[in-house]
Amino acid sequence: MGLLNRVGVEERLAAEELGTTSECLCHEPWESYYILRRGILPCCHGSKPIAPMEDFERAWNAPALQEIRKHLARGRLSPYCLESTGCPIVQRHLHAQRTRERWLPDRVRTLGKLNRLLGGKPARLYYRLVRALS
Amino acid sequence: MTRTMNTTAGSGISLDYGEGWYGEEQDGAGPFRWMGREARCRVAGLGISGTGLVRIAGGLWRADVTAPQLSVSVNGMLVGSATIGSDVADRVFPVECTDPLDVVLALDRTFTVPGDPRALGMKVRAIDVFSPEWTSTSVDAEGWYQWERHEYFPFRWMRAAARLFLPPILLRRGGFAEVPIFTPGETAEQVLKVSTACRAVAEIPLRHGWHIYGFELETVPPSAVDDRTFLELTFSLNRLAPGSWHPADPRELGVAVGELDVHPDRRRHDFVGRFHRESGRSQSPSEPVATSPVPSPHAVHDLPIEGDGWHAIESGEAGRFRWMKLEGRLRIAAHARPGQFCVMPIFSAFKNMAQELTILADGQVVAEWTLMKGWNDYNLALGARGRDVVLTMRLKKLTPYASHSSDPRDLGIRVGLLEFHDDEERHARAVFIQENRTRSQRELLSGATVLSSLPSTLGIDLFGKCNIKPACVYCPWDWMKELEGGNTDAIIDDRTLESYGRLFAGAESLVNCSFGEPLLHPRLEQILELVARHRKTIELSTNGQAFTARTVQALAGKPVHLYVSLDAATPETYARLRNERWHEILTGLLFLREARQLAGGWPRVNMVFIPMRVNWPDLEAYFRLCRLVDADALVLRPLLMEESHVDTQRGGYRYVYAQEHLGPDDLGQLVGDCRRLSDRYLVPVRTQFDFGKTDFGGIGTSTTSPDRG
Ligand code: SF4
Ligand code: SF4
Repeated sequence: MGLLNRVGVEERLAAEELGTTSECLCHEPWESYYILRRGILPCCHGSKPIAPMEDFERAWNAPALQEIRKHLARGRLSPYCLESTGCPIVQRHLHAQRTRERWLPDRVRTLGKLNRLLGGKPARLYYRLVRALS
Repeated sequence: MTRTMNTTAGSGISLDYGEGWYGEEQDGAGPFRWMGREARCRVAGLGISGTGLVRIAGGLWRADVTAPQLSVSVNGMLVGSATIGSDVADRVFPVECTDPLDVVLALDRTFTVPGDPRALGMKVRAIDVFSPEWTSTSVDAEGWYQWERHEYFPFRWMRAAARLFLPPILLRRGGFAEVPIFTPGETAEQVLKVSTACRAVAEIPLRHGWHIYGFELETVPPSAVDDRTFLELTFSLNRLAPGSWHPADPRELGVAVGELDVHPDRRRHDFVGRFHRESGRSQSPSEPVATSPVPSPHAVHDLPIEGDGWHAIESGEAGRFRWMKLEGRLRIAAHARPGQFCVMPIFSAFKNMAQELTILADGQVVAEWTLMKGWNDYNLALGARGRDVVLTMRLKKLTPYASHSSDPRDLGIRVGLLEFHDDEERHARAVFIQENRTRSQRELLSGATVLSSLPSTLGIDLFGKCNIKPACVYCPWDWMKELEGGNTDAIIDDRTLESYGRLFAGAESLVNCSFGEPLLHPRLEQILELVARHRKTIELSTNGQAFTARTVQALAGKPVHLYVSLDAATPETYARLRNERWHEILTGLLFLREARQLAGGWPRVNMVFIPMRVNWPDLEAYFRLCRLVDADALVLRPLLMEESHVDTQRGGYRYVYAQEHLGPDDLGQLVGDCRRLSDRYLVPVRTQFDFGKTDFGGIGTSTTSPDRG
């Protein structure tokens, strides 16, 4: 139990039971709807309207909104979201992407070298641990 | 001995202490000197003429000594006398300025204390000389206590009467005076009279709390102000502040008075006057508005529990509640049930809707609810009144222990205090909303793209016109109006909202996202009435420049979350972002605070601050402002990373949008500052920097309100 706690397994299992681990990227297109003078928006950060204001009844399930929901449900930002650069979620995503692009290749290369130097043992250990935990 | 003078004067002024003084000493408040029976000093380097002021700050510091009489002579002429009391106090004497100025202080008696051989006259803290040429702020004479600087307004308490002098520099600014005043007394209990040496200027009934008051000064045009003399004003009160308000403070407290400002703006003066006239006599906070449409605070103070399925009563952000274990019982007595419908606030920690609650009444299942994360209201029909009801509440499971490892108890759900009513229509609407919310969560969790549920938050666009012209520096006004095309002038009001049908019915909250000022809406009252009647909430972002007696009255007691976008705590910074109307905003916010106090705290007020380079120095003052206006929270909102090419000059400042952003390091520091200031001023901070991330571990919870002012 002590060891499990140290690696946070209990907390992780509890979080899974509560459903707090599967964080959807953004709930807005399910929970919010904006009928504005400039048109219908799926959220307050949307850059451009998906329908004119008068179409408020139909636009709630319009293909454009379905498309946004489809991407978000799969944990991705939709093309519409990526165009909405004023959205803090999009900004965070783009920032993380830029950071990854800057650091990831180097880190992968360095870890790969280290693994080869130690005869592949670190990778084998790592995968065994992951399997045991999942 | 020479000491630089403690005056508003420029450099080069010196004070030579001559005969009759003892050496300089220190106490907690700073340096001072004792004088004997007579003491002389010479002020040199004044280079002035005209009628100046000599102010002597001193006292006996002893209550057991007979008060001596002080006579003051300047250049051999007696200029005045005063009785010296035990406290430190300012005495001001008008003098004809010459350079140098020989001042003689003479007392009619001295005293001694055991162990000190000196003949003591008076303890003098400072001797100040004010010239009509270079003094720019008012000069306090008798009747004031020391300045205090821990609140938004620096202020000092006045006694029953006090005198002050306005220098020509201030008078030349215009003919209107404005002053913030605080009274702990009831509205209109205290009346302040302001007069000059020759006429009464104003008689002002004071309102409870801090308010800004204006009065007209002498009707002398600024160009005709006498450059050589000060204008003397006397403030007098009909009564002191209630002693019950400061039982531990033995001082004679009248009212707290902030710095007096003089301005030339008749519009600003009329605005303040109109607010006072039209707001009428307010009720005292002990007489709450009875007809508030916002759910009134529960009359009950606990749940009617039975058995051992409950933990002790606790308090949280959402009020009082009890944790229920796996099963709990409630006995609702007939006399404690003023209605057949019950609203039950429940908190669940499960985000995946895996928690279910079954409710049985007299052995029959009366409700089966899938619970959603957080606090939500659930609605139950209990049937005809007149008999006790025993509810058995049974959960599917407990909250996993590892999610609350520091609390070893069996935790199921939190249940808040119950509310009962008899309104069938209200019950039907609430059930519709509850069912819609459940459906919506299911569809979200399943990733459905075609929804049978309706949005719980409905964004609306109430008003397309704004009173800030030119627009706020960061507002993409022209672009937005272009996008709106012909809809800018479309009328959106309470009738429009009702015409949204199911979309309106399903919404729990409305969020106004207008590029425009919603408080200018001609049917504001009707819109807020509609929202209150349907027991929804509405978020309104306002620029604060549309507060009038009418709009404050319309907002009072309504379920509104008001976001006041100021981003500044001083007139200077405000002018760099918007315009020169800072003082009107302050007046409005103080009236709003008073109206909210009388209406159960509604509307909730969130003071918005977009951190930028231009306003970072205002951060602490903004916390003070939040405390002054009794804000529910300070909301940090990001300046969006839009590709804006704004590069403009306003309020003497060059605002370049791209350069106003704070980088991650600066933001980290700012958040640290906010934590510290939040603790110091007891103002909760919410941040919208983390929009979309529900579990924000920072200084507050994230909200999803619009990002515009
Ligand atoms: S733009 Fe942002 S807020 Fe809008 S749907 Fe996309 S991620 Fe959500
Ligand atoms: S930001 Fe708001 S208050 Fe300022 S000009 Fe734009 S709409 Fe008006």
